Amino acid sequence: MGGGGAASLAATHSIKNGADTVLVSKGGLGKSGATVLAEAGIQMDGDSACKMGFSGNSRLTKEKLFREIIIEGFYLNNQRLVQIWTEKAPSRIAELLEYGLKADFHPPGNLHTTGSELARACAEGARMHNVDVIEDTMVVDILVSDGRAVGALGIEVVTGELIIFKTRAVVLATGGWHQAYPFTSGTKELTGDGLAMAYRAGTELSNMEMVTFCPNTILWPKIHRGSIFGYVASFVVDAKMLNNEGEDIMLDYDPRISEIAATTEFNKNIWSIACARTINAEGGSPHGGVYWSVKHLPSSIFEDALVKRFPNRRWQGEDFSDLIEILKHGKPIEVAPAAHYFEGGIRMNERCETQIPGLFVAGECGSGMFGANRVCDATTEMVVFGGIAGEVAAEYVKKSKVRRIDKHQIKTIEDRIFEPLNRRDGIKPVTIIRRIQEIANKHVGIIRENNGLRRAIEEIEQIQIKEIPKLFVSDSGRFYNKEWIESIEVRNLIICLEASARAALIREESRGLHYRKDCPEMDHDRWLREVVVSESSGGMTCSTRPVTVTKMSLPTGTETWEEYIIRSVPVLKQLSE
Amino acid sequence: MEEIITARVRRSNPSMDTGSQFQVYEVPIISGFSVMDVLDYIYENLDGTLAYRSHAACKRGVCGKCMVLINGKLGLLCQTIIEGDIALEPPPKSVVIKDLVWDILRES
Repeated sequence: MGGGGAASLAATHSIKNGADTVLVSKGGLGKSGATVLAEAGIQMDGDSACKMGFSGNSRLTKEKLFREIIIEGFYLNNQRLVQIWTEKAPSRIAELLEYGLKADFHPPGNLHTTGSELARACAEGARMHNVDVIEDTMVVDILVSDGRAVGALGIEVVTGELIIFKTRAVVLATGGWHQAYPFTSGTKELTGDGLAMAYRAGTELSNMEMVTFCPNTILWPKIHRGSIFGYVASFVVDAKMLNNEGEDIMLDYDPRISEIAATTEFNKNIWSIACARTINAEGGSPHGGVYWSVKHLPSSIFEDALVKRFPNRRWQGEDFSDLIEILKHGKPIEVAPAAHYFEGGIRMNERCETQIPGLFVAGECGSGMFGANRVCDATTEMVVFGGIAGEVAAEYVKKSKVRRIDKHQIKTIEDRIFEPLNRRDGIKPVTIIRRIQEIANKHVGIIRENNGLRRAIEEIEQIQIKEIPKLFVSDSGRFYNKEWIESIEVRNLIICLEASARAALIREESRGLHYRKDCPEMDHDRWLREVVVSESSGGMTCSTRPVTVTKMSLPTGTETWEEYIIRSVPVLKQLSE
Repeated sequence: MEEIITARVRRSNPSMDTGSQFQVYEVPIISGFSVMDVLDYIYENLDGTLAYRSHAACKRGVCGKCMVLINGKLGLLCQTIIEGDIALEPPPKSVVIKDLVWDILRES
């Protein structure tokens, strides 16, 4: 299930390994999911790139890349997943090239392309292998019998018909839960469906407190709202982010930190915190952000660089000429951190297995690969684990039999989803979605603290008890009824946000993307553990488990987030030389 | 700068077989709004029954799913900036599912 690269790769590898496969996508295949809006690079180690005939940097071996990812992930990574990622990346990238991926190579081992081209190539694989594709269909829940995943129930969005999928295995590749935040760079359908379904089916979610924000995402002009133009442009233009007084928001920082933000993969993390501090302190620009400015540069320099990066002043489907004009007039663009990538998700092992036999997970809806900070490319994660999930699911299917579907479960799901359709009065889904977004933005954003997180959990509980049971939709017909679809999505979003808030409250330290104002230290002795969330007797409970370690031993003691970053940079430099 | 514009939307629900008619909405807009922003405003504040393709919208002009007739010309809802009153209809000859949602794969 899913519309992006992980789902396409999973379906392709499942059918290649002999399993009858159907791919179900909430939007259009290759046209939806997070993949289409990716920046989009895809990375492997430089040594393998050289062996594939690219002019890579052979000194960046798999071993070194493994170490880099873990240092940049603040050691919370599941090292087994990182190892598989580095081992399998080259063959999966070669596979994408077979599907006709058009991309430019950049050392040490990176291919640059666009999100839509990447999604197209992944979908091409599924089409070449004749995968049966069902689009515009939202999966509502996983069917479980005798503790195994035996299928799923979905809604065909356009007609409103229900579809029951009787299958021997289910692979979830549904991406993140971007829409829980009011400002996001993700597409509309990313509502944590896979995570919530897996949670309801009884699996654990882990690392849910870790959320990447893309710091310089466009807030205004409105037509570009959510575009990561500022982030992409920052690689070719030395732009500054300014506060309401026109001062550089990085001025208050140790110059080493500003330098690190501009030159390393800690960039999103550092800049997002700096933006959040500025916005919290002074209320932000007219639309609530900071200013992205190139006023200190001669216009010929930045214009050339931007036009080179965005040929014809366009990028994918967007026309950026208005932005370039604004900048040429010496004016800034309003930007702010947007919810961008979700490190946490369904707990999985290196075979993409979950705690439920027959249920597999791939891509952003899984967890563990990137620990407390996603670096390199999530696109590599999607192709590597998409492929594995497909292979392992196909292997599982060979050994398993078709099982009876639990009619009682179907009845329960139907009762739940039809309720808002049959109610004549109550609360519209969009009203609750806006409430969820407000809570997420205020208390479960970039900077967190104990009281705010407690408040968030209380408010979420109130919504669960008092508002969700009153959900109603204006139109009782089922044909393309968006409010009805949202009445299902809202239940998924609230599970994801609650899990995130609870995990963030438990983790009494600051690590990577999880920044606690009231606990600024990183505590390696106590907190090199994953926070795990699961359902027990109707409520959500948290526990912790040790990080999965293979060959890189964990640090000890405590240090501040800044100290960790500063001491890590020379080690990272050494690895990349 | 806020101003009020009129949005005329051709509405139909083939499952009810009641034909199609324009419905008129008055929408406060801020300069720079896209047509999609106008429809989002109507959907959220005025009429939750209004259908336009947005359940998996990319809003970046990439997915191409939100194409309709805007003041008589084909365009993407998410990439067309509002410049005054608008009339919105499904493309001619398209198989309409509901309001502005039409079947991209079929022609009537």
